[in-house]
Amino acid sequence: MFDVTLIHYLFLSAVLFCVGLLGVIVSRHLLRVLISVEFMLNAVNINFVAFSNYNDLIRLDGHIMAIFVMAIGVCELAIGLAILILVFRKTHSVDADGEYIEEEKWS
Amino acid sequence: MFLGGFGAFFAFAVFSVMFAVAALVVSFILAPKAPSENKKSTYECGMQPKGEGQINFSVKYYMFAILFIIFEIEALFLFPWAVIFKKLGLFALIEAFIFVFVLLLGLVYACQKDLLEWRR
Amino acid sequence: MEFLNSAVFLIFAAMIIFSSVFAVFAHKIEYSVLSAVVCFLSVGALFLTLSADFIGASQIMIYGVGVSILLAFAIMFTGKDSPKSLYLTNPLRVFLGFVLVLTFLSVLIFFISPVLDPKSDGAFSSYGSFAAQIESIRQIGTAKFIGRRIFCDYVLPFELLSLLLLAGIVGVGYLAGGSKKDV
Repeated sequence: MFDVTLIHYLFLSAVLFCVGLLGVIVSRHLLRVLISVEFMLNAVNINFVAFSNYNDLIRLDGHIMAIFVMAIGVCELAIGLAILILVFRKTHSVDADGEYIEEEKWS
Repeated sequence: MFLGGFGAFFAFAVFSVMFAVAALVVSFILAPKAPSENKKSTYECGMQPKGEGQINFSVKYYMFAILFIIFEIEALFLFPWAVIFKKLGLFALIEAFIFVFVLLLGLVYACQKDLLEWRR
Repeated sequence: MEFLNSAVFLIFAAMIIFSSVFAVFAHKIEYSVLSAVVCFLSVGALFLTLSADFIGASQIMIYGVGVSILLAFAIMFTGKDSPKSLYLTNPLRVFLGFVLVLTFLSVLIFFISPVLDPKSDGAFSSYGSFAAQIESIRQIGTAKFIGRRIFCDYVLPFELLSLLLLAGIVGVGYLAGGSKKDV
């Protein structure tokens, strides 16, 4: 069909990044917002690895950056989920628009 | 380069997925179906369950998931060190020990706060 | 050969895009998490087509296993009392979000398209003298080279990352295990 080159991976990662951005803006569930952030990080990783494969297979900087991005993304997800659980314990809601916060007093 | 050197892997993946899907489809086609109300109920005898079965688990268990994934990242970073261990020498050994030591501090903190108690 | 390359790329690209879109727009959060896991695994397979074996394996190990466990735990903790109908925000923000994202995507594609000629392979043309090392990467995988780079050139980020992970453990312990009586 066609030869898979760098530009295809760049298009794919651009689309995935935009889907993640759309999810962050649009969705109302806090967990879905965190998932969308992970999509954006994955899109960045695809970019790093694709550039590393097509231009820099000697020094592998893109691979190392991808590993660091993964580790930092997991840390961010862990802290974000802890905050989500804390918010849920206080307000019994995971609404990103915060419609249920008023029901219960913050202790 | 054919599939980045992983052609056999992708052939295996495609074959295994097709195998699983084929098993499901064939059993769906061949199996006799005679649904009735009794078969669809949760228990064949006794009380009918009411409400939802879902409960909220205790937040205590979240610490285990966090420790699992943090030490998974540690394994991810120690693997490239382990495959080239001899060539890197003493300096990299000290680096790796500092890394492991700092993460063990987190485990000690979790033990100190009794976050690893399984009961309750 | 070329047909198989592009076919595998197209299959996994379609899986990534469809599963991510479904994860964003699924009505139930459980479906959203499952579809996100499918997307993470497909990204891992895509890394393998880029001959990044270590990154692909770690993507499957960390995102396909660890992150999915974290998300499943989050559903287990918050699933019962949370209202099921948390779907999209108010329509004005949805509309503005669509406009913003489509604009951003068109800007990205505008900048991607002319810079790179899709005809040129771009790979290894200027690295003729390193052909032996590239061939050894193809043969034995990238883990050894990544290890050498991390433990020689990226020492400080590596150690700082351990501090970040420690901060993650302590922060989660403080946030999630703070109060004794509250369950």
